[in-house]
Amino acid sequence: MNGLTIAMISASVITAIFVFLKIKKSQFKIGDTLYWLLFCLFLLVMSIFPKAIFWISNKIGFESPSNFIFVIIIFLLLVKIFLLDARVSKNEEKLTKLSQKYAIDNETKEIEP
Amino acid sequence: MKLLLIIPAYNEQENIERVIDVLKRDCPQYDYLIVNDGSRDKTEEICIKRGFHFVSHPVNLGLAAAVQTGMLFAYKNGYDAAIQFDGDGQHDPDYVEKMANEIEKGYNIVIGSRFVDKKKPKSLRMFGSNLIQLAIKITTGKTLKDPTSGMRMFDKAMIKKLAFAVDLGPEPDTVALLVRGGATFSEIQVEMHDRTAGESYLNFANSVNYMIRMFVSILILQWFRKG
Repeated sequence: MNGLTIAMISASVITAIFVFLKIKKSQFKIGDTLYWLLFCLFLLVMSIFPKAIFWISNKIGFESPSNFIFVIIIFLLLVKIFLLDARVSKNEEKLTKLSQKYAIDNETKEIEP
Repeated sequence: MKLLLIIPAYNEQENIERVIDVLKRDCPQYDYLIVNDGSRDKTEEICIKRGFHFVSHPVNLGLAAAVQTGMLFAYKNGYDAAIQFDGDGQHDPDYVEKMANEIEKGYNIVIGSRFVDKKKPKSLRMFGSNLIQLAIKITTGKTLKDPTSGMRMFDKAMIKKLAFAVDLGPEPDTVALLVRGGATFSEIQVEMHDRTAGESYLNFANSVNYMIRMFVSILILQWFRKG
């Protein structure tokens, strides 16, 4: 077992523990944990079957398998950020709509002096 | 014609009373609505004390949302036209009627423009204005002499669009998008006052950011949006 394998297995286990703790404290919706659990599983599979990674990375033409792993992880994180950003936009829109409705429902009419 | 003056106000305790008093004196025939955008100063207190007509956002949402709240109110109450009228005293109520006449002639959008008869002064800001004018010319084929003027009046059809659209803020790219969607516009020569109190948002970094946003929006994103 080389260093990278150990690091990836640890990262996978620690992330999994973190996710389970969050679920226990009800700070995460079940649907939202799915991504991270799959992420853990992916790290775990990669560290258990490094040969497969070596083979694919060689086929594609990466200089080293670790570069290939970095690229995959960066891509997965980018996807996550993109989805989060879309969600933030949507939430902002919802907050705006709510506040506008609240404002209009609580209109203060003009009082002539 | 039923016209609503929308006055977005964020921390305008120094200005709001004077702006509304002038408005009520010079434009008594029109309704107004102050949209207090979650101000943390005494804006709301003053509105209550003076018996002004207002709505308040529970939190600060920004100018675009404040103007949209006004449009939503105008739509729900069946107004024929609505104008954004700044709460800091830059806009002059004398021009409102003239602009309303243009709406009655059938224009969808009327812009209180500083440069219909007058030439643009040569400054960095006006260079920015010229660039936006060029971008709008490229995408719509129309010449808008004062794209950054905040004094814009909209007719009923536009009010409906603005009230429910996502991201149609009070900016030049919105006018460009509406015009590309078939809206007609007219420009009326107006004078604008300098702010008498409070701070302006414009500094160098904000201006550069603004220009980039407008350019990307007008020249690129426009083609993917519904007009």
